[in-house]
Amino acid sequence: MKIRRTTITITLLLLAFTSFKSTAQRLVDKNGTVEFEASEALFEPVEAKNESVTAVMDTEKNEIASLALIKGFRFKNSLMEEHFNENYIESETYPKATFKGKLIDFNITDLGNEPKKVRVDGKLQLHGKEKNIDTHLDVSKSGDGVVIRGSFIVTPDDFDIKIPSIVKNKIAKEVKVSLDFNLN
Amino acid sequence: MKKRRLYIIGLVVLALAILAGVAYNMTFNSKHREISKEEATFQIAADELQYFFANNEASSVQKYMDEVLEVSGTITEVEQNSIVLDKRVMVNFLANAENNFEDGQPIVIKGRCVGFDELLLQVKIDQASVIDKRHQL
Repeated sequence: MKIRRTTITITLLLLAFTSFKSTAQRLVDKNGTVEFEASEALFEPVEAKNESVTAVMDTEKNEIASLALIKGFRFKNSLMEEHFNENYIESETYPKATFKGKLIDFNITDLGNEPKKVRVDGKLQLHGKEKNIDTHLDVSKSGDGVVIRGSFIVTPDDFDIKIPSIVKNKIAKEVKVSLDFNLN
Repeated sequence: MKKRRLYIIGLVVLALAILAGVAYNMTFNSKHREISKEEATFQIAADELQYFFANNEASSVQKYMDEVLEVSGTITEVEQNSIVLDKRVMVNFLANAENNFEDGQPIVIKGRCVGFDELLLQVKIDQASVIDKRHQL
């Protein structure tokens, strides 16, 4: 009798543990990748990559938060990197870009290894300005984790970033932002 | 006489071309900083550095961001190409660095301060290299 009670207690405890784990799930990627490209044909490519972007996902509330430190964006051309930081995005004053949003009509239990288009709606904040981003990203399962990939378009105007007329035709009006998160 | 003038014009054109080439090269192929070869501006313990950022981010950004720092601490997390010191400072190494890290190992690294990550509450360092592996703290 006593043994049975202990067994039941242990089973209950284990159950409590597993259900706790599956409901309050927080997945994290500390080394996510975000790239942006604003190249114009015939001119030097304007692109940069940040390979230590943080992304946190709450799979119960279907919320996602991401943070990229501006100084972490690396350009091939060091002078371009310097101008980007000092003249355009002013990273000393605005050192980070953040995104906070929700995955719409998303259920982690429906997720398979095949990428699925999921609507993500949220706010991107950088250079002291905020913009609503409503886009579709590819979401798939990978082991116990989740992979999120995709891209969206923003413009320098959205964030009040002034491009001097002298380089205006060398920088695209639309900036393509691509992301690749592997959350575990 | 005519020959001489042509010669001079030729020389001037050549000089201008070289100058333009050098200017182009300086603009489009200028070298990135080599953090591992730079002298560190500050030597600081990982928990101290994070304390500054967590308490006054704006002034810490002014003081430490983009500076080369020598940071000491104990490894609390090991990932593919990065480690975490005292749970408070995340260090990303140069892409081709070969390192064997262990949890609990005291270490001193040198790298560039990128800023403060408020999601993880960690200070981020990139382009890091190992200074001392057996440093006793």
